[in-house]
Amino acid sequence: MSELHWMSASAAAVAIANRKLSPVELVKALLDRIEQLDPRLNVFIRLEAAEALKQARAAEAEAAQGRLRGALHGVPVGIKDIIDVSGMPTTCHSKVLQNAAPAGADAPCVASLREAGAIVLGKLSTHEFAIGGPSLDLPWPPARNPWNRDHHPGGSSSGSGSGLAAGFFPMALGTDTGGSVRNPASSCAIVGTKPTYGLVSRRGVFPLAFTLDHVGPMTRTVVDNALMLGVIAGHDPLDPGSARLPAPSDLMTTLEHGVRGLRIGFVRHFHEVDVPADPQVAAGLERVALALRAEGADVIDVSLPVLEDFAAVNRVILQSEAWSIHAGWLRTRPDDYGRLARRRLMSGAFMDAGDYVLAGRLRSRMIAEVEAVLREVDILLCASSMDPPCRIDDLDEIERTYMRQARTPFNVTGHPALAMAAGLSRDGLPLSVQFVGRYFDEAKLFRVARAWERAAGTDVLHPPG
Amino acid sequence: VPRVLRLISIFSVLAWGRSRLAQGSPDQRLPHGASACACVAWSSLLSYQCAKRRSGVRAESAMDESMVEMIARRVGLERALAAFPDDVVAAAGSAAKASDRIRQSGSALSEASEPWPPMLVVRA
Repeated sequence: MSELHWMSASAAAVAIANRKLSPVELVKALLDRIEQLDPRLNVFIRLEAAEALKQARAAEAEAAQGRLRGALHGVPVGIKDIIDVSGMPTTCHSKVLQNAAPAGADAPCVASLREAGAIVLGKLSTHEFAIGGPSLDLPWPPARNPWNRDHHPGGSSSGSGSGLAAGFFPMALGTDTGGSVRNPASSCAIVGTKPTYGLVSRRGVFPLAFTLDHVGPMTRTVVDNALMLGVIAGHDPLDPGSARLPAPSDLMTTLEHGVRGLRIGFVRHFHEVDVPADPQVAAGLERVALALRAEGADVIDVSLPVLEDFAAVNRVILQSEAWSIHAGWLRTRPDDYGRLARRRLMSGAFMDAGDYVLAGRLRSRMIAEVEAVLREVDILLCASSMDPPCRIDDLDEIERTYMRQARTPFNVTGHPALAMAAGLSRDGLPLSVQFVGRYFDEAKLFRVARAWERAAGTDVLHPPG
Repeated sequence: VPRVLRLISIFSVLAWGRSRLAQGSPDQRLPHGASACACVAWSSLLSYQCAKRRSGVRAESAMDESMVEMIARRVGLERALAAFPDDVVAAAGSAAKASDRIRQSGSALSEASEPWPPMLVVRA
């Protein structure tokens, strides 16, 4: 079978179940590709090749006996290195935890993937503690963008995004506190979902900000994203933020239902007024709106609070909560942090208690305002990144574009949001779009994203070479 | 600067009023520029006052370096302060920027609006 590295997770799972594909053959093909390309992309912090092959052989033997563990039997996955995987240290890409002891247990999201039959390939690059940037002053180099390795792959789940776009694995886990699943999805032309707050357990994940953290699936196709979310979603009584709801069962069944009759609210002011986008990004969003209209959706303009207000609320909450986690290390080992993370994490020390409470009060109002709009429409369509990915060596440009995005509003409100490709720029770099749904209505989110994917063929968009 | 601006604007407005009264007797009318001058002066005064208010907010929240140093020591960041003073100042500046923004937005909130619980998502 040719080009196994571009095979989707769902196609691989079906082929393995039908004994048309050996998990060993698949894992070997991916390991070859990783060996060939990763020295230039820096996706892996820790690659467990021998262990992955051992798991693949076990999966092959089970499949031969007709015993399938679940929907992802024999399918490889990469894990962002702020999430616990049993037997591997969780380093958070930081010198602070470089010598951490191996985790004693899988995080529940990893355990769910394993129960469904997935094979863990290893731990992936991230921005330091999921908040720094692409830094050169860390123990491991930053991941690079397979579309052009001189460009930033987005972050903080940068290894997850880069590895998917490079064909190293068909699924990865990321985390999203201010947009960290959706940013690499936008920069690498893959699919990244931040589910509703509380839908996926955060236990076993190194926290950045308790009330903003989400774990999300990252894949190359919408179908795979829905499949993966269906596996990792569900109530965890040991996660205080976990929603007391059964895991969604309709994610795959309504995927191909199309958008006819759906009302889609286009939040134009985000990219036209609040943070004016690169014209190529704006044109990409218009193409998405046109395509969905052509598929039968009713696309209307809607307004939300201005982006800068969302961003400020996100920043005050994030930095205050992150300071409460990192204060001890920042006091005693400030030199073990990279410069970007150190600056961002120390900001919380200068917020006062009143600011944190005020941000919470504003957050409640913002939730009410977004909910009011989502009573009128089924889905929101808006920008994700306002620019194509910038050069990774241009620190000023990275700093400038860091806040030029529309992802933080939905960390503040907790609504599910998905980012994916909206085409390519003149320079061949990914452009992006974001869809946002009602609480726990990820099924409709995937339905709309799938309609756009089908219309534009974004699932077969791969970097050259 | 504000006193001069105020004087210019008062003079200009008086001149403009006089020219309006003098309409119909061209020999007594002041130059046309008087009304424009009044507008410019008033808008200068207004923008000066706004800028003053804005800089007042900045002065209040963007702490000077001695204040940053004091807070950094108070929260136990002496080591960071000694080794990475620029990072400490940058962190304080970033915090001040976000705080300024939410204080502006928050001024319109009702006293009764609450932040509790900090995050609760329920199915609609």
